[in-house]
Amino acid sequence: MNEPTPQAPPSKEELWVTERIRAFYKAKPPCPSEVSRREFGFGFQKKIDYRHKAFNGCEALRDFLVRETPRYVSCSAAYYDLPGARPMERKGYRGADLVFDLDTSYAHELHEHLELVCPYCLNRVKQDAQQLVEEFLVKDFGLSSQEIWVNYSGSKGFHIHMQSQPVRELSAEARRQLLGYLTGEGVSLERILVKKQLGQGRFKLAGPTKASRGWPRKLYNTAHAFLEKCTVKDLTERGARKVDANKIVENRAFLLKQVEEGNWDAMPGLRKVWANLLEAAKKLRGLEVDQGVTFDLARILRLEDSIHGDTGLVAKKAGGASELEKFDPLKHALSANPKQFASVVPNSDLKFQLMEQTFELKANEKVEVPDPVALLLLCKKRATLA
Amino acid sequence: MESGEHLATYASARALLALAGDTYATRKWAAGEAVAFFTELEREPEEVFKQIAQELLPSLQENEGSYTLAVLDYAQHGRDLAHQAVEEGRVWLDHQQILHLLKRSIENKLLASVPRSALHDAPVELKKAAEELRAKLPKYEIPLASIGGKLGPRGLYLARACIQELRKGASEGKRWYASMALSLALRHDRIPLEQAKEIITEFANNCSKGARPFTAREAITTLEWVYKRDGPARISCRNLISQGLIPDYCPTCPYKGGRRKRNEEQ
Repeated sequence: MNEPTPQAPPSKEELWVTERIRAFYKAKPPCPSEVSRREFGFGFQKKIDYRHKAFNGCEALRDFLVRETPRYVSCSAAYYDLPGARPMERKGYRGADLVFDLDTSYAHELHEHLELVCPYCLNRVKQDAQQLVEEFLVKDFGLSSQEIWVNYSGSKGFHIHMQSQPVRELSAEARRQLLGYLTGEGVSLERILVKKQLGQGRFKLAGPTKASRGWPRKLYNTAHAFLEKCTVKDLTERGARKVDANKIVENRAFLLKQVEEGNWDAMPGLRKVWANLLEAAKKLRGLEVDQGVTFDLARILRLEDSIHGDTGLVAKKAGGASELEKFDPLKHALSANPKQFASVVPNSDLKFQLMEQTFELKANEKVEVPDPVALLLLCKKRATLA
Repeated sequence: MESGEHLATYASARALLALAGDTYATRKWAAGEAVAFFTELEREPEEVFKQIAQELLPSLQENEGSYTLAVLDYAQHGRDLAHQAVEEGRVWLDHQQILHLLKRSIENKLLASVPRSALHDAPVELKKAAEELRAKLPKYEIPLASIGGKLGPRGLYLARACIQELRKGASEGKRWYASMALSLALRHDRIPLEQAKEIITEFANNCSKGARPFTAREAITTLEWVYKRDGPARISCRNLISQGLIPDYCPTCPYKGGRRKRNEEQ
């Protein structure tokens, strides 16, 4: 049997962080619905050090969190008869919540990107979450907004949850189907614009109209809006030859009418434009979702209202889609008391926003900051305690 | 055959296959039963057909020859939702599509898993018969030539940096996914099963032990599952990244930038 590896004693920074996390779990212990049917996993050094833990109630979970104080707490979206059993087949799977995980990086977009936590990027992902709920889940899939809620992940993204019985029964393959629709992956122009023979050797492209549904309708909306305003330059940028682009602009009203009637081939030079617009529609309408979270029924995810060990922020329930607008994670997801202060020494120059304030800290200069700020810096290992 | 007798035959067949634990044979059986059942269903008077269709697809609605189905119902049995006419929670379908969905829903019902407790409590005679059946079922030694067709234009998956990274093992929570990706790579590269087993065993040994070690047996089960299937063996680089199995796309990855870049290259 191997000798246990001797572990270094925790640093004063680690002890400080642990104390803050413990205080949070004492005061506000998280408790998911149907806690005894869920599998839990915990991380101290990394996100999941071990899993297959089960608790018979919220009290037991709270006791564990206060005693062990893990940095990361994860919980299954799935329900089991025996959530602590191993291997997975012995657990007795009984359905799973439907979860979508959005954490697209918008660092490439034009803005002042802040490395530690970026309000701009968070706001963009929040907009994606709103679009997912309003345009896809409610409008297209017909799910009730009452049964959808959104959680901040505690770091860079948002999770969208649904728990109703029909949703729980969805198979992994069914979840893949929903994902395929949300992302627009695999939507092809050849399936939307269909060649119809008019006579010998003559074809036209029959496409979606105002009455179409689903992705064809999304393409129709994008194309119609584009045609209403496009210039010759816009068209050439999207693949049309200049001579064709001039004709299209000159005959805009005629072309719009043709498209409204489903004839997408009324003038030459349009096919490349349509292909280009479909990609644009996918970018505009489709969403980047972490697909594994949705279809992998054995996956465990950040527990709602637990602390994210990379930031010290809470994976807080933001509420329904309507409440999401007002939710600011950098203000509403603090775990430490903002009225208490700690002295820290940053190990590099830092600029970031938290608690509606901008902090600009100099490397190696001792500074007193509110506890949530100190917690963020220590969790990120970007400062030491003074 | 009387309907009661048919039901008993179905139940014993399902129980036998579940006890034999051969998922491939179960799928084949379900597909065959679904076709037979559907053929009989088509011969029924329209009223009976409609009644059964409604039971199989509870949210089905018909209005003057056009049909609609709840999106969630469609997702359970249908394919290619992204190309369907979806609006306000319903999918608009034609008669042909409904027939196809019915066949799939019958197959899915036949494939519904049998609870472990039911298998545990099964009569001894049934268990014995399942043992005999297991011995008689064909072994799926897939000839190399039938796997995946010719290699893709970009050559071996195994030579890629991302797959080399996977071979170094994975941490708990990611081990199954990694074993699946590696198995797909092995199948794509048409590595003979025995040699593939050695590679996947080496991978399993490299994986972190965690609270429960990932055994070579588990990895080989995944490999055999993948080798039994003859669909395309594609690996999603994006999923590997999102699962945290590789840090980023390889510098020479042909899939970096998505489908469009691939098309442009072609």
